[in-house]
Amino acid sequence: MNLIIHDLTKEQWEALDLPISENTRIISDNGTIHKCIGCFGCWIKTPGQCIIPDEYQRMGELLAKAEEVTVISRCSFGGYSSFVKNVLDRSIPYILPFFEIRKGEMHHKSRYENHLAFTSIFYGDDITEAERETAGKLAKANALNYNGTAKSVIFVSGIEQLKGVVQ
Amino acid sequence: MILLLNCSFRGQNSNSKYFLESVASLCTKPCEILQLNQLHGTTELQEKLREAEAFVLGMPLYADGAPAQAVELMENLYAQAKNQFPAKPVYAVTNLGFYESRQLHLLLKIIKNWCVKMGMAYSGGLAIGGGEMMGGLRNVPLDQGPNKQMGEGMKKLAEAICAGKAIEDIYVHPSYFPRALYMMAASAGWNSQRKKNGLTKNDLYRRMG
Repeated sequence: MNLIIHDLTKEQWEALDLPISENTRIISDNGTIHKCIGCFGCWIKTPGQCIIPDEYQRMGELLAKAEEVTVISRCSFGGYSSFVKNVLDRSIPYILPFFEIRKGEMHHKSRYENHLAFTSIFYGDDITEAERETAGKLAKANALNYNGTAKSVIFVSGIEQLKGVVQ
Repeated sequence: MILLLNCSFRGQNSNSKYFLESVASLCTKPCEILQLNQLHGTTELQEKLREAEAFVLGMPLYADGAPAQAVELMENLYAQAKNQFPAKPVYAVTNLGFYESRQLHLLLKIIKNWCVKMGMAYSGGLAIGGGEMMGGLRNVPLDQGPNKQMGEGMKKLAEAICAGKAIEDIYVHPSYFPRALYMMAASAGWNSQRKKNGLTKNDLYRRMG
């Protein structure tokens, strides 16, 4: 399964009319997402699943079933926009609380055996050079923390340009 | 007045709040600490920011960056109050569960990028490694034991804040406490918490679907 996480409105997304394959699950903003409260319940109360009962509760399971993950986000100061970041914050049940050393640094052990390939697409007409550098490093750091691969990091200035880069 | 904002949603017991309070206790100027989860919109914060000599953001690292609520705040302030606090010094007090504080460098960069776009003056950050442990050592004096390096960093940051001076980011980790031991202690901590929740060791490894 492929997973697309994006922060576009319903209208923006539909207007793009992207060639999405059948086996793709789309995570978008329906206005109901709750913030992660840092309780670690997804690790030590209901392992593998967030304790907050909303539509984003099972992000860990969705990532476990995915091979390719495409993240489409407005570039917010060199990071993901607040909605996309919210989804990523709620995705930590995908990994275990326990630690291991990878590339000389502490990271969380994997809960699942799949290996995610991440494509990060940042859009915005005022992305600075410093933000671009930060976002590129962030995409790689995220992939490392999820024990996956940062397949590519793409920057576009406008939403309409997504048409040419989302596959 | 120095304005400090705790961006953790863990509330009153959050480590970020404790780290901000510790920095505030070392400041020689009056400090006011606000909780992001108690603010409604940005109006009150903007009013306080106008009065403040310096602004200190406190937050934990979530997935290599700022927690979503902190990103949302930065987005809202940028949309509503860009260039309204010209050259106001901004500092950051950040922490993470990993031992190596250098893993906080992208979060500090994001805050710095935001300051540039806001027209504010990013003036330095404190990056605290082993945050879950350091937050639990509230009874240990800031200049002793595992707190030594963090306490020195906090002192340096508090001096800069009160002088309105820009400094290089400060990276600290637990003193006299090696990473291997920290990892063992963390594992023991998770196991103790799952026992309290009536879970077996295998339960923690549960796979969904």
